[in-house]
Amino acid sequence: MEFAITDWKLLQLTLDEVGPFRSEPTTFSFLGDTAPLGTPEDEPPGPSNLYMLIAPNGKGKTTALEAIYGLFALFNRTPSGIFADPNAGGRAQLDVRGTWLVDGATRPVVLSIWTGAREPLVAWSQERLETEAEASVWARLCLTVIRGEVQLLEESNDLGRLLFRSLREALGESPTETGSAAERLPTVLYFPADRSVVAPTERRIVASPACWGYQPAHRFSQDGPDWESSIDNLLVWLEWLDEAQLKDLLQRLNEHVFDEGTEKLILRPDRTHLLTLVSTPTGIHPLASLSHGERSLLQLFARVFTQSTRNTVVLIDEIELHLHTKWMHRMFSGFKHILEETRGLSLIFTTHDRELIEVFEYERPESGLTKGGFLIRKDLA
Amino acid sequence: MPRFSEVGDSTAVNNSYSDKVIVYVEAADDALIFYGITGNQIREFLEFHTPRVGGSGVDPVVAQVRADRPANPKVFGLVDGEAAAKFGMVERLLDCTDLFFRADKPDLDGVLFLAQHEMENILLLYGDLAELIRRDVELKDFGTITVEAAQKRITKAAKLFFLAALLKYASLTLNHRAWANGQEGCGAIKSSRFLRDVDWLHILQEVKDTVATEGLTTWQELREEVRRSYLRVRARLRTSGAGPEALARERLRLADGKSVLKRLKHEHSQDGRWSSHLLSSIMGSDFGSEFSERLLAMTEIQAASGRSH
Repeated sequence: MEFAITDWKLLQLTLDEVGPFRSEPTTFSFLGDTAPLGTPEDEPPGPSNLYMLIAPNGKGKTTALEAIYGLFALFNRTPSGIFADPNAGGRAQLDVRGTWLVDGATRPVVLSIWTGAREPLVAWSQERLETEAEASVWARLCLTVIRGEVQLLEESNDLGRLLFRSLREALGESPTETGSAAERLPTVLYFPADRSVVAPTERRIVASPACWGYQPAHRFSQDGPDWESSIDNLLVWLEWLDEAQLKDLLQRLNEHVFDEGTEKLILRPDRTHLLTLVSTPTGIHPLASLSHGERSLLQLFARVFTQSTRNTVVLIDEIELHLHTKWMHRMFSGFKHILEETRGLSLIFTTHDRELIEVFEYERPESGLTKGGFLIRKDLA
Repeated sequence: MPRFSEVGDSTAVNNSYSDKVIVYVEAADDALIFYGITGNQIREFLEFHTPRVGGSGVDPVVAQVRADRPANPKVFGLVDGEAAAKFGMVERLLDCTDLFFRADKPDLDGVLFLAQHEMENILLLYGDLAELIRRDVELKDFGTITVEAAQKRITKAAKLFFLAALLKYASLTLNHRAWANGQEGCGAIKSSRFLRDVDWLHILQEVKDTVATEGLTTWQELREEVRRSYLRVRARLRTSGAGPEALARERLRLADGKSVLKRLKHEHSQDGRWSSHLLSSIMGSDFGSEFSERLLAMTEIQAASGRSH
């Protein structure tokens, strides 16, 4: 059966009895506040592809990201995330709009994935589908975890089951391989706030990196110190696996990680010593010599460039982590550029950096960006 | 749980996110001086900002508070006490014994007024102005001005510009009354008229003539308003048993503060940076602590911020 998805965009997340969202169901709308530059005035912005979530500490912004990741991570080979524990409690529902191609027929679909209850937290009537989401079909996936295995409950429907099967069948495929099934499926790349970047110290071998291959949800909490989780391993792996992809990746990394004028370049890995080197004005050094900030940028961009499918949601908690203000600006500009070029990519991020709120300037239209944001307020949380 | 567009522009979102009290003030210098008085540690709870549109002054502050406050109840304005006259409530300024007062008018919700005519009066009242005048002289004149002599000059200037301020309040009050009745007001009588090197009785005569020429109010009306304000201040002080010194400080509180400073500087032919000197003598003082405490209390964040623990 031919199956593909395009125009994948989150619509809303509803949480109840999850994290700090206790008193009543809370819905985060991912609809944009500002349409891309050039959009006719009477046209609504639609779902965001660049979305800022802000809140004081402990008010639930990380919970929101964990929930998005957690719902998709139920599809992983081994379910993980906050909903993988059957005793976790709470209910969550994520609604996503996409264009689904099924056996030659293209339809705008709202997919609801929920867990924690048989009934959905939010129901989509036909009228609501059409008016609020410009969709015609409601795909439903009701998930639960029993003895470590994800189960589809009977409230799911045929379209939901179709997506579920497709996701499971594509597990492990190369996500960026042109024509692969995984390339047309959705994925979530989650960078939590406790991410660490430590150069690997273990024995270097040519081996598949820990997060290699398609998964509906990836969590990138560390770059090193073990070899399998390091960017060094990723680059060495690509050196042996796909020279063309590596060349393209290095070009993009060098463009985004280093400031113009620093004269730094990540070189192709040394096949003999399985070592990636960086050319700098002071000589050739191993990748480990990069600063914490540079490795942080490398981690973000390398994972996005290698693990994205055509329908990718990138979640970054505390996006400014490890970065000097100038680098934060460069990283943010880099992501905006990537989003403008990549139709199926969305970025949802949190920050405590008040300068970034001003830089984001949600109300200013920019080419290719549907900007939106949500403020979790203390008095209303 | 609002979307950004329900909060306001990026700065309004930023302010709301900060979860701090945001106090809009009339000018960037005011913000610097208020931070000087309170100390930067207040930034944990409160920030002073200038309005984003409309320039400086009372009206942009009021407009910004009206724009931001519906989505963020932690937004306030802090304006000169003299602005009370413009809004037809000069009595609140005259009667104020606290450091701030409120308007109690729905359209001025969140706007706080200084107890003083303007920010400079705080420097006059709580800065060491007499000592500054004594010391801020040419070397050849060092020791020729005593603190007592300087104090007399301050008192004299304060008397003159207290009268000027009462005239301004009277004109603003009559304006407000006229506008409320759909009539044209007479315009504010600016205190700067009294900065000229001319006898004040002569300037008063000019004011009288101007009022008569314009015909928008009468000198009698204006004089009656001035008299009413003066008697109100005197009556309050008498009731509380305060002496002449208290009246002198009331004059310093209500006088046109900028003009007092200008006059004193002019008399000394000096162009020193008095504001910074005066501010430095207030920084870290009991007044600074009291100002911070009262401001935090008036913006109702003391309990919410947990400062009492």
